[in-house]
Amino acid sequence: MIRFDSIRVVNFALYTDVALHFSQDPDRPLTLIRGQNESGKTTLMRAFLWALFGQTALPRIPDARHPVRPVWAKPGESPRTRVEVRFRAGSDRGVSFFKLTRAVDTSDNGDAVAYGNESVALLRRDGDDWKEQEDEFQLLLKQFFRPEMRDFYFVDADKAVEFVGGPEGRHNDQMMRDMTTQSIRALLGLDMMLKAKDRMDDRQTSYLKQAGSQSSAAGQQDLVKELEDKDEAFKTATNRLAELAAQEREHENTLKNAEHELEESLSKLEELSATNVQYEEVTRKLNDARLKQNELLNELAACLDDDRLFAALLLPVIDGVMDKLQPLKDKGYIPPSELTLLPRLLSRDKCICGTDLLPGSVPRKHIEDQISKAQSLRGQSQMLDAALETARNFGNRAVGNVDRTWKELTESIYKELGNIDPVILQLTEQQEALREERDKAGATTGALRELQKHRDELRNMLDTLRDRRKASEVDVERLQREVRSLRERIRVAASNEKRTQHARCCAEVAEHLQTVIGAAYDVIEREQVLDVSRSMNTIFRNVISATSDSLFGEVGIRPVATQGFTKQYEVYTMEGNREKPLALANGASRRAIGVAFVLALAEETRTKVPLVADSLLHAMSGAVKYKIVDYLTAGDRIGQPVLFGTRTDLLDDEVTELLKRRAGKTYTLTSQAHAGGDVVRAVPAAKCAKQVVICDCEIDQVCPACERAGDQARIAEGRLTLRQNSEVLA
Amino acid sequence: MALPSLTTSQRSIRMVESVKERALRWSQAQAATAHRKPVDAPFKRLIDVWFAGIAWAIAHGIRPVDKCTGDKFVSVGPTNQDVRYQQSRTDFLTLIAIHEFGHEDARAQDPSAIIDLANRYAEAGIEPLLAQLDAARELSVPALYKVADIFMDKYAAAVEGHQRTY
Repeated sequence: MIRFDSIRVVNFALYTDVALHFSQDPDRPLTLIRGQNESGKTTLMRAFLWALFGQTALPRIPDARHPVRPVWAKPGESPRTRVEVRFRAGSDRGVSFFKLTRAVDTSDNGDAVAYGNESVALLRRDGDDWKEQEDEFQLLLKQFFRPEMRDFYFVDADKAVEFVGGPEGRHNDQMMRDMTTQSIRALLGLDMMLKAKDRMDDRQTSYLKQAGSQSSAAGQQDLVKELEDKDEAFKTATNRLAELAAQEREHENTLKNAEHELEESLSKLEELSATNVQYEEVTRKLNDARLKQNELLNELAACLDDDRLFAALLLPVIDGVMDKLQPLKDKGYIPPSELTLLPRLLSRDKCICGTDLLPGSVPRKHIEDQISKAQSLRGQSQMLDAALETARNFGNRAVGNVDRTWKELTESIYKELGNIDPVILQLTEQQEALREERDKAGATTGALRELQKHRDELRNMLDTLRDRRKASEVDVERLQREVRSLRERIRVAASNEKRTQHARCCAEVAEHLQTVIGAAYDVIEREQVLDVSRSMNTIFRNVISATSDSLFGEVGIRPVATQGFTKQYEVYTMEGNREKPLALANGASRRAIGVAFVLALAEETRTKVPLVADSLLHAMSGAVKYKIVDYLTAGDRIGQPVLFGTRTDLLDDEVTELLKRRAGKTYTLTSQAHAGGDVVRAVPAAKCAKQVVICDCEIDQVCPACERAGDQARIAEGRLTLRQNSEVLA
Repeated sequence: MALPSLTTSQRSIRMVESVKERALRWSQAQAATAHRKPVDAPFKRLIDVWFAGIAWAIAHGIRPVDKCTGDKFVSVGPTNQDVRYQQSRTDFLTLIAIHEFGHEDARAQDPSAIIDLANRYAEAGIEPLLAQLDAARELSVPALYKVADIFMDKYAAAVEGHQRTY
């Protein structure tokens, strides 16, 4: 339930700053706003529409100034326009009071009006304060003032004619059906139900798609199987890693021990190095001694081949030769002297004694025989001489006359051998002793080599183990990631499955809701549209055209075609039992049927929204006006009736009387544009000549601001009262 | 003037086979066995043992055998197959021949007669020499030392009291 409390219009077109309050009196629910043509009724209506729905609610008038900008504003001026509507919204939880304010700056450069810096604020009253509804004001506004229902909140007779296909002579069935269908759907909530049903359908489709896309139970089973395999591989790899780590630790300890043992062995080896040096020294000395010994032995062996030894052993021979040959030597037989004379004699062929020594002669032959014999003995003598000399030489050597004797030589060698033998013995013993120690060292060296080899092997094994352990770590990390990934995928799959189930449930719910909405729609459509049709017929027959000469016996709403799930409606008219084409209705009948339709809809939604009707009573007979006002203001058929009308429309006495009883608030708009016309006294313009003034004169009152030509006669007749102290707004 | 060489022609050096086997034990160079050290085999060659036998016979006044019964174990001479024999040893052999045959005897200058005389002396002296050497071998003292001792004794016996000057 929405009820307007007031509207304040500041710097809006013809208005500088006016505030109107709407009737809240349940016995006098009507708010009447009257004014002659061009007095500002429509402008005030636009201010209402602009405040509630914004610029889109304003008419587009080509080549016209912007309907918001104050008419008195000069180019270059940027006045701020503001309209404030206060209303209350009731529900089962109580009534809340709101204040909606829309403001905008306009500027005019001479060619066009700029519209900017617009602000909208919705505030809720909280005690004495107003709190801005920042986050939800758009939602609230749409909830309170649905844009599609705008033409029913603010309706006029001309607008009502569109519901029956337009003015006389320009009838348009399609426009009639579209307007009728749109208004029925909007006001009865059918469009919302259709939207809701469409949304449910969309949601159902969406949920089914979700369910289809996320349904992966089989895939989830595969993932679980894969996870089990990976988990097993991960455990195996983890155990393998643990084994490798244990082996690595074990090898590290073994290597540590081996290196410790190696260090100890190295230490021992260093201790034995001195022994090695000694051993080498002794060995060297021993080798030298043995070498010397060998030399001496070779010398001793050479002694056994020495001529001095054999000369000594052969001294008997030497002495015998000496004894034989030395006398011959002493006698000059050996060596023999040279025969020099005889050859010379032979060459002279004559002896020194004078004997001829001619070849072939006996003397010569004798001499030649002597020479030959002498030469023969000379060879033997020479050999014997050599033998003598040889024997002498050997003899001298045997007894040591020429050099050291063989004995001396041999004894010296013996002596040296005798000296060196104990040395060799001693060195051999030392070497043996040192060898034993060296062997130990050698053993240590061997052990050291073995330890080094063992250590190197351990290092290699440790390196291999570390490499394998690192590879295993990488493997474990990879498997761990894969397991995590699989778990996440399974979790997602499970979540998807859950969402799938949820989506299926939602789709099912959406389907059910569609069924419910469809059923409700059918009921509403069938029942409520029928109610609207009946109300419309009742209003038309009993309120608007309840005359005997009416052309139409029955009017109403009926479905004419189906557009898928939805139906289209039209206004129908019957004459007797026969349908009469709506296109044949004249202007008055069209307004009557249109108004009946609007009022029927308003009646069906009476508790929801106010009805702001402009010129609704225009061109209607007095009886009809009376019944319409009565219909609008009696009881609670219409939520909050606000009627705009000319004074002329309301001159009927019965209507005036009825309005006096039913109008809780009455405002009269007077435009200075009429000054010099039928307005008796113009109020001095504050801004410009077009400025509207508003007074709160009742329906049977006039004041200096609104008095018009001819009112004096009515005042004189007692049909009007002249007020001198009316409240005038400008 | 030097004494003439006995090896201008090939001359056979002989030794009784059984003796030769024993003599080889004291010789460093052997055909069948590896070269032995002087300490174990004091004589370089078998011909040295042969000459030592000659010296041993003369030193002990042992007369040469009438006829050599030994077999040739080596030849001395000018060819490549012959043993090179030092001149001093052939000089000794010449002096022995002069001493044995007399300076006027032509055999004293006959190389064949000289070598034959030498072979007969060797055959006579080598046996007692080897007997003494073999007796010494039983001791643990190295052979070289024993041989040297033996010959030192013989040397001493030959030289000690010898008053002659040359």
